[in-house]
Amino acid sequence: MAEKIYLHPVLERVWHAIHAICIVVLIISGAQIHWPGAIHLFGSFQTAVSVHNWFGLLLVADFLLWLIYNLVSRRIIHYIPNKRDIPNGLIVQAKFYICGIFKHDPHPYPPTVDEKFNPLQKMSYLMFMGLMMPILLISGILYLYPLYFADFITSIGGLKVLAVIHFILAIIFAAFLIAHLYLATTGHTIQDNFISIVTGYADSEEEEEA
Amino acid sequence: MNRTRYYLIVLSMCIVLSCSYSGLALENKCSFCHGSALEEVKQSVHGAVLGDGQRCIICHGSQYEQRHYGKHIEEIETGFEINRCFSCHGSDLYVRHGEIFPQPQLHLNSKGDTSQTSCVTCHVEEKDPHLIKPAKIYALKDCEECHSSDSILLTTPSKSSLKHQIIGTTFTNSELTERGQYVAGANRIPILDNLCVILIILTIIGVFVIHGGVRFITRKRKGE
Ligand code: HEC
Ligand code: HEC
Ligand code: HEC
Ligand code: HEC
Ligand code: HEC
Ligand code: HEM
Repeated sequence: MAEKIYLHPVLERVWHAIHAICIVVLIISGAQIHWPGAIHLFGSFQTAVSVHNWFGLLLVADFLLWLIYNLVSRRIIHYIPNKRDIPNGLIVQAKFYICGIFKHDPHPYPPTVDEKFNPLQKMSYLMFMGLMMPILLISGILYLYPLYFADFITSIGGLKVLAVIHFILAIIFAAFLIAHLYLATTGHTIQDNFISIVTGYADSEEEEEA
Repeated sequence: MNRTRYYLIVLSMCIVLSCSYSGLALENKCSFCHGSALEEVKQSVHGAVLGDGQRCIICHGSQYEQRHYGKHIEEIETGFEINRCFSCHGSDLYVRHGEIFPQPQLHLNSKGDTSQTSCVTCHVEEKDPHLIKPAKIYALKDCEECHSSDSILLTTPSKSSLKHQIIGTTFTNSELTERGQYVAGANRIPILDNLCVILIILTIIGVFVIHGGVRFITRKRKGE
């Protein structure tokens, strides 16, 4: 039996669950707001709008929780690429996804308590949580209180520009979600990573592979 | 001689007409040329509440006659401002409308050059801007009338000036869109929409079908 390592402390799992629910709900309700004729998953337009607004605010709070928690606990270090990762780790990890994985090579950077993410994960999580998510959240907040930020909104070209920025980022996040879900199946077994984000424990891979 | 008599007759007719005209109450002066408006105001919710002298200028300003002569319609300042509705209906309009519409200010405000819908877009059933009915009897609250790809805001093209479009019943927002207005659900950029849908589909195919497919084919079989 493989040794279990405790990878995701409880706060991170709670955070991740809220985050996941928010994003899925926001994608679906946002899609209904954008294509009201085609998508009716939340019933009326009015419902979709209020659902979107409330979950949007929840996501903002959830993001702040993540940021403060990671800064205070210094676990933000997991998201910062280091010498191992740039550029070597990125290439090794990419090669693994392009061919190694089909030959059942072992994961080049299996998660450990000190290095939770592989180099590609670090880079993409840093991009998404550090750059794209703040822009998405800010564009959402501006969109929610357009009158308070009227001058700023006018200066970037009006609600239209704001809405388009929000929409493009929304699509990027939808694409990210798909890729994220897929990559989660590339763990030791297909369901492995899904179990570990719920229980917190992951198989320590090398032991078994070895 | 005939000629002089002719001029005299015309002149006296003019005097009679202008005397009777200037003797008219203002609203009748207006309806002298705008026949139906007065009747329609009288039939509307405002019929009983507006006094005789107020029926037109309370909403339209008083300088109408002077402004009118010799001008094309585009040049006529309509003088109508949403503020005039507010002056009687008060600012709790935001509260009342806010119970139904998110962003009531965006739905009601007329300040600035973007983000405007007209009161009459929602409060008039037919095309006539004066036939405002009690809100219980008619008031538009179906979001998708405006927030959809066949939005009434987009499908009623108007040749008149931008200001007319904003405050008229033929409000169209295509021009406002160019100026930065954005009505969610109604405004979109088709190319952007298509690119985005393609991106999503390619992502799904790329990871689940192609990468996942190869992983499935090369999977470890039992006994290997
Ligand atoms: C001498 C005739 C005449 C009188 C009197 C008159 N108008 Fe007009 N008015 C016109 C004409 C002509 C137009 C241009 C309409 C057109 O081209 O369809 C016009 C245009 C208008 C418009 C803009 C129409 C639009 O389509 O936006 C308004 C509002 C208006 N008048 C209100 C009034 C009011 C209020 C009064 C009374 C104070 C008044 N008018 C008196 C002849 C008159
Ligand atoms: C309750 C406010 C209100 C009153 C009272 C009112 N109007 Fe209007 N009127 C409007 C609004 C709103 C519009 C639509 C805005 C526009 O198109 O300029 C309008 C448009 C018009 C127009 C152009 C559109 C059309 O119907 O052809 C004319 C002409 C006009 N009004 C004349 C009058 C006259 C004459 C009176 C008096 C009998 C009058 N209005 C009283 C609010 C009012
Ligand atoms: C008469 C047409 C009309 C109706 C009906 C209408 N809206 Fe709007 N809505 C607008 C316009 C115009 C804007 C302002 C867009 C701008 O300022 O750029 C707007 C803005 C909004 C916004 C802000 C986001 C945006 O830019 O679109 C929301 C949210 C919204 N409406 C929701 C609703 C809901 C929910 C309903 C139904 C209860 C509704 N609307 C009914 C015309 C309408
Ligand atoms: C987007 C559509 C829309 C627009 C724009 C709009 N209204 Fe309304 N309004 C409504 C609806 C729907 C109701 C009905 C409320 C109800 O059923 O209780 C209403 C109700 C009202 C009432 C009655 C409120 C009460 O206290 O019972 C007044 C007065 C009113 N509107 C005036 C205005 C004025 C003035 C404007 C322009 C500044 C305006 N409305 C713009 C949709 C609209
Ligand atoms: C002179 C003041 C005055 C002006 C200006 C005015 N109204 Fe009114 N309006 C009233 C009064 C008074 C009532 C009647 C309220 C009632 O019967 O409960 C009324 C009723 C209404 C109603 C029906 C409200 C209900 O409870 O069902 C609507 C809608 C409305 N007005 C819209 C408008 C719009 C839109 C404008 C501007 C184009 C406007 N009003 C301008 C005084 C005014
Ligand atoms: C993953 C996260 C999110 C996704 C996928 C998303 C998606 C969308 C989409 C597709 C639209 C329609 C825009 C259009 O028609 O072009 C929209 C509108 C909107 N979004 Fe978001 N969004 C997200 C997060 C947020 C957040 C965090 C907020 C605010 C706190 C927010 C606030 C809004 C507002 C205010 C609108 C306008 C309609 C409304 O009032 O609900 N969104 N969103």
